[in-house]
Amino acid sequence: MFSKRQLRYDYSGYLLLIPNYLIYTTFILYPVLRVIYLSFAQYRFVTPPTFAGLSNYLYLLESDRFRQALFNTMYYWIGTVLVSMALGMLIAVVLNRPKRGVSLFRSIYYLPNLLSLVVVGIAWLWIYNPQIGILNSFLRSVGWRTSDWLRDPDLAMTLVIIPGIWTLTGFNMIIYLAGLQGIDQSYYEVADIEGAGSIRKLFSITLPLLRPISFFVFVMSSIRSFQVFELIYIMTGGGPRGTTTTLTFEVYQMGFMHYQMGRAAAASVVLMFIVLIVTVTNFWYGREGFNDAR
Amino acid sequence: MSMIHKPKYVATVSLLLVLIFALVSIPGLFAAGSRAEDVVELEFWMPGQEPTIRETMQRIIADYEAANPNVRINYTQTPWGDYFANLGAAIAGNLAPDVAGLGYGQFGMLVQDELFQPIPKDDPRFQLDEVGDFFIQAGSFGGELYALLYPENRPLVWRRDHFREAGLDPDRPPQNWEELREYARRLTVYSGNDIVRAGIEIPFLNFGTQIFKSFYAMNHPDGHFWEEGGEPIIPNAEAIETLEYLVSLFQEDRVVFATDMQDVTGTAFMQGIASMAFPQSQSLPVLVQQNPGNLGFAMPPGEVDNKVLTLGTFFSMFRSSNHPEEALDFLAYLYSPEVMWQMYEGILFIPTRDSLRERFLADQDFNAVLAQAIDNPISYLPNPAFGEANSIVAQEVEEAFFGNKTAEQAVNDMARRLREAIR
Repeated sequence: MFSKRQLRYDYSGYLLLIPNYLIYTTFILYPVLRVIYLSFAQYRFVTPPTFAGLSNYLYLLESDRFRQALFNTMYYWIGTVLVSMALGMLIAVVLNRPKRGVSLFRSIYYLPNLLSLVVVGIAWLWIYNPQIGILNSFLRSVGWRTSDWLRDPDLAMTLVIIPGIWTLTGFNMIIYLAGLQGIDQSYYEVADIEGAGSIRKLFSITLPLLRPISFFVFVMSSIRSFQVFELIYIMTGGGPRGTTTTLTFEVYQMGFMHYQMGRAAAASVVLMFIVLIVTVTNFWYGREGFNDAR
Repeated sequence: MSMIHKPKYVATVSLLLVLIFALVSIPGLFAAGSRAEDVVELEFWMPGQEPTIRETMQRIIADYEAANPNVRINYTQTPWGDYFANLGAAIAGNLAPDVAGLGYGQFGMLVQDELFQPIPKDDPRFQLDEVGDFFIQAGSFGGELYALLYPENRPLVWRRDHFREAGLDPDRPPQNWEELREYARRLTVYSGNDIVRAGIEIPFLNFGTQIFKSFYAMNHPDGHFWEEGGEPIIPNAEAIETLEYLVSLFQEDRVVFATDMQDVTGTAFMQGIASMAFPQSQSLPVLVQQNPGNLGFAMPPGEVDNKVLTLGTFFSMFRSSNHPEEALDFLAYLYSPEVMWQMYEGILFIPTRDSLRERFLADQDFNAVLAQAIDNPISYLPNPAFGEANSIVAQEVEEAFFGNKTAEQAVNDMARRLREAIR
């Protein structure tokens, strides 16, 4: 049994947790449960939702547009996450040296991550502008072929991935930098005594010890990639021919443009499960990696 | 009480006080009793991002409030991109405004849900006898009038200097589609294999429904994709022929850029890299300012008909309004001749009242063409799946333009998907 004094102590602790749980329940738990409920309903905003069984999910299964959005999301995810992780790690390794001006470069590389994606989208839209964009101006000056890049269905998604990488790389670099600074220097000192070169140290010490960090970076970048919306909205509007329509953009279209909230909710649930799978897989492998690294 | 636990209690009590204070500070949460009982407040929502809309509407509202001291209008203006979502959320939360501006799509999607209050056509405050049938029909569903349209349309506009450069008469616009093709060929400027300046702007990306509709209306005696309620009228030979024609301008003649009418960097015509276009009438003053004395205006070169795509903003009153009499009176005021003229001057909506015709014609050079166009309007009929239908047409248009489908396949798929959308 708790003494009166202990009860008082516990009571005040729980009281302090109330605001947190209140916010969590109101803004996260309830909306998530509501979305799951709406994914089984027909709901057009203007009339109350009615139970529709699996019809929204069946619609998604049959929808070419949804399949294309799923494919585009995977393409964007793989393109941005892998490249931004590799670049982030490379830049972090280069900048993890006590040299003059390193802090300035760290800030410069991190800066794009602080920009609003709307601003990033507009800036890159101008870069790709077929008439006055810097890309075509450069290509013209060296006598190469120019193009209306974002209007080409074969190229559009790749060109949206580039600003995605640009913004993610800075974030990944900072996390990797923190990871690199947490590696005990004695490993490198021993390697130096043993006569190991830079490449050997990178592959035998740095990369294995960064494994838990890499999993964290992978999950965080993945979540951001799956949520990409602003770049698509600003740069391509999902076109040309739907080649840049991602799941979040399709959810927006279905929910807020077509007033098909049930379908939008079902698509959101699918997206949630994809993110969940990536996250759980990360925790599983990440824990193993952490144990190995220890 | 032990002194050790005192700070925890202080922290807890402080936190609760902060929470209570935060809740109390939420505007309107506990303010219901503070309103003056004799003043009726009406919520009025308007779509659009332009500051000119806000300035004009605020002037109009101030005049109304001065004449009706017992009514206060709470004006909310939201950019088009967010308006759809905000209005939907407000309706879902039983917070719909009393009076609202609506896009064609919103009105077409919502009118069947009995959200709007019918407008009595014979109410003398509305003076509807001097408004053309099209505008009464546009805001009607099932024989009842639910909304009043403030229109804008899309005439043919061309660059006279480009016409001269190409050896064309700058005062003679193309008269039919073959001439339009021939003019576009002569006006297009290439650098090697690249188009530097397009002969005509056909914005088929993302919002291709509108340009396809514009041309289809010139080629089809009826000009609609679907009947009232959404049942598709297509496929038909005219729709296929229209899409074939548009695609051939892009694929074979190569006189068209792939453009998006909502590109944030501006339309090709606005950027000076297209010689002919069908811009929104509301953009004409800016275009004239950019190209003084250098623009020509005409009706679109119809094959079968000279109908002009006419869209705009509807004004409607929600059935859920707690002050239906005041809302109806405010709606009548918004459609009065004086306000209609202010809306023309400030927002460039085309006046639809006969009594304003002469004044309108005398105001700007291009108004003669806009007036002619407003006499030959075509728009969309209500469709409960309007948003989806619009996307379907746009997607199939793109499929045809990029050569993934023939025009015939695209129009057939369009019809099939439109039918599925309303099921």
